[in-house]
Amino acid sequence: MKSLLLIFICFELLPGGNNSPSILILNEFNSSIEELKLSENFPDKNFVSGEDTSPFLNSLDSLKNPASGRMPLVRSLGKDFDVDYILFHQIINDSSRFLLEGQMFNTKSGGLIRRRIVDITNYYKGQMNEIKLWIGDVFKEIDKDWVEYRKLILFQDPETIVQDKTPEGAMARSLMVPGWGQFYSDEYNSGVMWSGIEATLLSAVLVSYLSYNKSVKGFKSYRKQYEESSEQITFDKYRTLAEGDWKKHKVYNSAMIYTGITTGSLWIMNGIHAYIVGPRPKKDIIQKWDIVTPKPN
Amino acid sequence: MNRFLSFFLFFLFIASCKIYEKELDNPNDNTANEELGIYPPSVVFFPKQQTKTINDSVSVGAYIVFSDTSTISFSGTHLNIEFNASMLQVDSLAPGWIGPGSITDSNKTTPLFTYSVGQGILDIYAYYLSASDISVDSLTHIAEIWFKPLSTGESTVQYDTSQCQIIKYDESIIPINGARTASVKIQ
Repeated sequence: MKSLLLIFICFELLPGGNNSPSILILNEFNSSIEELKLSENFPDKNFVSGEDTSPFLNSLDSLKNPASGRMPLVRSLGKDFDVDYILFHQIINDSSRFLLEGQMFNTKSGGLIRRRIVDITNYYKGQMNEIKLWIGDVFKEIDKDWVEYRKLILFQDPETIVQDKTPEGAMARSLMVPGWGQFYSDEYNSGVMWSGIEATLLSAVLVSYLSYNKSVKGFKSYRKQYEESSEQITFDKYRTLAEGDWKKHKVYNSAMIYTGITTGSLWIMNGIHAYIVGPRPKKDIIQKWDIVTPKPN
Repeated sequence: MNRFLSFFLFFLFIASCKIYEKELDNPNDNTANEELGIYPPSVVFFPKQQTKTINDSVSVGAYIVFSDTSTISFSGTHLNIEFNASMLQVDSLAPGWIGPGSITDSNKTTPLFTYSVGQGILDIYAYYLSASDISVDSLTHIAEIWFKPLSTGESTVQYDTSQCQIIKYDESIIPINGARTASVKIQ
């Protein structure tokens, strides 16, 4: 018996149950929006229009507890209009954007059960569509056409987008000057890293080359003096010096080759990296901004 | 353009990485001679090659090379030198001098030094004379020979080792293990 009673109570409480829920709609936006015609879009809901939105206009976030801050008001309105829920909508227009705030209250408890703030670029009949998406989301009745319609906000002809910066451009720049492509792609840290590594390695190659050159010159000079010396003490001295520089020129030659190969390899890698991090059209654009508290128009 | 320049410079660096042969060849250096398979004691000329004009004088030094660690010592030598008589003519000779320990002992000791010149043959005889020592055992300059060029061309001055001798103070013979020639180019 108790179980049956519990099931009955649950059915009664669930929105969209056997009895159609009644909803008081309170809209605070300018008259440029056409009539919402919610009944056409949500035929199984009983919508009741309210006029006085003033009790809801002060910011919800300014309340000590936003979820329960309007309980007495909501309960009172619920009794007055004999509705299950109250939906309050507010739209604030900006030059090219608008901000829609939707609040859903349960009149039995008086608490806030859902809230959504949408800050979006304006599009044709966008405010109407966003309200339908919000209410559809509340009652789990979203029409796919509304979702498709929202795609009007996207650029319709991406092929015509002219890209001033390309990954190929970044790669070409980095192959010319290591790090340039990364700077070009606004990847400053990796730009500094690549240019620093390459500068260090090129310096090492240069130092090795100069040391190698010096050793070769020394070897040739001492060899000449060695071959021109007929005295044991003299040619012994020049032989030792020539052999020392000959060994050095081999060491510096190896150092030059290995640092050269490393420099070249990293140079190419730097070009590939520039291509990878190069500028591309972004697929997921997330704009961060402070939440604007809706204010009365 | 810059890219090609960078790669060009890079490959220039790589291309310039030449490893030189350690060619240290001095006829008076026993180490160099041994690398060529010429073992001491050997008779050599210094310099090993030279290029002169017809008006120049060609100077060639005759040396006996011992190993740095040699304990063999000698007191006298006979060197038989062959040269192209149609190109070179012996102008003059001087006893060798190469500092302490040499056969002339820094000119303090006068060697017994004599020579004879034949048709393309030069025989030199030198004996060590000293009041204190009876022999020498290091790189020794036996004689300095000046040739007068007669015609242009390339010729070799060489030892006939079958005729050459190195002797100890007791007149026993020290075998000659190697010899090097001198190349003379007259232009």
